[in-house]
Amino acid sequence: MRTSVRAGGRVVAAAGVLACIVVATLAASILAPGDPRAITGLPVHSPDAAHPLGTNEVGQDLLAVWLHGGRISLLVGFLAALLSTATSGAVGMLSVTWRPARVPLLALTEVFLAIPGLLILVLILVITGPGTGRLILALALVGWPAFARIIRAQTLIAVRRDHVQAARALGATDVRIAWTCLLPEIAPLLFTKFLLTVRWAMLMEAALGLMGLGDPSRPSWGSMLGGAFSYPLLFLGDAWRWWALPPALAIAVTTVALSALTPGRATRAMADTPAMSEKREQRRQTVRARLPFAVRDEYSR
Amino acid sequence: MTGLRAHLARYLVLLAVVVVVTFFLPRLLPGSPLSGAIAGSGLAALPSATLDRLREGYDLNRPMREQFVRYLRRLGQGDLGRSISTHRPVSVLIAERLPWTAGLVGFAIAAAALAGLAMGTWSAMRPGSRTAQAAGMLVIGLGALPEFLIAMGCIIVFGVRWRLFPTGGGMTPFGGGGAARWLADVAWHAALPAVTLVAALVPVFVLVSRNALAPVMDAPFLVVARAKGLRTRRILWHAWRNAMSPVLTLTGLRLAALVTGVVVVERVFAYPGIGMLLFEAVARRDYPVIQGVVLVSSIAVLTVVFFLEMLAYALDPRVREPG
Repeated sequence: MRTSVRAGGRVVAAAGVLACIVVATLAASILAPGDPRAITGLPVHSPDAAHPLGTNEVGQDLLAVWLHGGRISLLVGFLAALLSTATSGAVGMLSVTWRPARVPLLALTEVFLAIPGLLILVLILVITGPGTGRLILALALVGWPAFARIIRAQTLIAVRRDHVQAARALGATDVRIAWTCLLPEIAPLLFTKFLLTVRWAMLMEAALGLMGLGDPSRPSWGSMLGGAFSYPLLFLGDAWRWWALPPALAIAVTTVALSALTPGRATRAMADTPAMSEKREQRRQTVRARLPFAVRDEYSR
Repeated sequence: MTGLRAHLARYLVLLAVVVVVTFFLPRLLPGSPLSGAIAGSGLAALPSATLDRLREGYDLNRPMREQFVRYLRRLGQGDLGRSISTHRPVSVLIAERLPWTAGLVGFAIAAAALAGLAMGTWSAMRPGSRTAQAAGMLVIGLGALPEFLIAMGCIIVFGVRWRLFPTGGGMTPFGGGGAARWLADVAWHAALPAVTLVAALVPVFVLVSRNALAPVMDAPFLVVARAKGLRTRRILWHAWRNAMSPVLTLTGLRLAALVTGVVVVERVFAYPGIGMLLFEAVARRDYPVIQGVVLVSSIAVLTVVFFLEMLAYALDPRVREPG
């Protein structure tokens, strides 16, 4: 079993790694001054003194693209996770506290879960055209449903607690109850959801970049990866070392650190959520209780 | 049997919803199905009369309700429209690519489930063992890696360094030879994509089968089985029945997430499956193909999940009567 000391060490290490990555991308303008989109060299040039990571197919400095792209990737992950966490929290709580909303919200959740997320994202970005802002909104739209369900389960339990009953008896309004009694109960879950969704959003950003749906006007790790894999000679020379490997490693390290940071206790609380009213939910919960952490984060976005 | 009927009803409703959503979502968003293609391919330079005729060809000039009715009628006939760039029917394009993806994914899931069950059993039979714990940590670590990194590792080690496998494509062009040669060639090309998918899937299966087996390993019925002197094989047979339904349910749950993995892996290895078709269609902003791929893959995922749930339902009484 994982002891608390080791868990603490793991969290500190993960937080340290994340902090380094954030600082490096924030310092992008110092480490690699100038516009990352500027064409500063010959196309697909090996690393030299002027370009420590070489250049890409149009001659942009890859170190600058990598560092500045990290900002965009992290920003996309952070904002998409923030929006979708707020949405799943609101939907999860509203579906319990506001009766007329129950059925439509549950149906909407089910529908969003039925279509694979990446396909909805591709459809949206092809129609609206790729762009960072649209990507964030689309990710937020796709990322909320699975967790809304877990929030709902937790809210159902919280609503039955004595202090909620007491507050109701004292005449507290629904809004007040939701804010002061229910929100504190689900806050740890929301935090977990947030961390897992940052991870999920960054992986999706990478997948969409590989699909060629990265924002053409703002380089990111995903679009850098997509550009590298569009270069047919990537693995014939050693172009992959300085073109594909840096963004791939950066995404991998960030996402692994994010899953290491996710508190084990909150995920366990998620697993222990008792059965809900519907039988189907009941079964899902028993299955979920048997699933380990690494699995749960995969499908709970 | 009410549970079964509810299951079927739910499946059918979701199927209908997928059809409706893939039609209306693109039409409710800013931009139009053709605008991407027009902007992307320089069609904008065409005279407006031609563009108008193009829109007419895709029914985009009609009122929404009429468009939807025509879309449904065509769908009923298996007509998904025609590709903008190649003018071939979308249903044919998808039918060409579907066997590649189905073979790859089917093999990867089966291999990952078997390997995962074996490793999970191995680890569940050794509670508290240091080796099993270390292996578990290793597996979790592997599971946290994104697919494209595993794919790159495979390409670099097996394709570039050792030159054992091709790093892309589905078969040798103009390979010739008999059916056996062709099959061997296809398997050789599918090796690295399959290994990548299996490596990405195995951890999940290991953990799930371990967590399903560990609690029953010292359950009374297995103590009795052991006391009777049954062979390990027979004992495991009893224990595995407990792991079946979580593994099945998990496969279903993973399927929607697996779509991302498959698309990425096919893209990275240029493997000629549905994911690559989607990538090519996105590159050309070939909207009818994109819509067709989204519709067909969503329906495929829904259908497989439905059958897996039915299987779990048939195999495990706990699923039939929960609680």
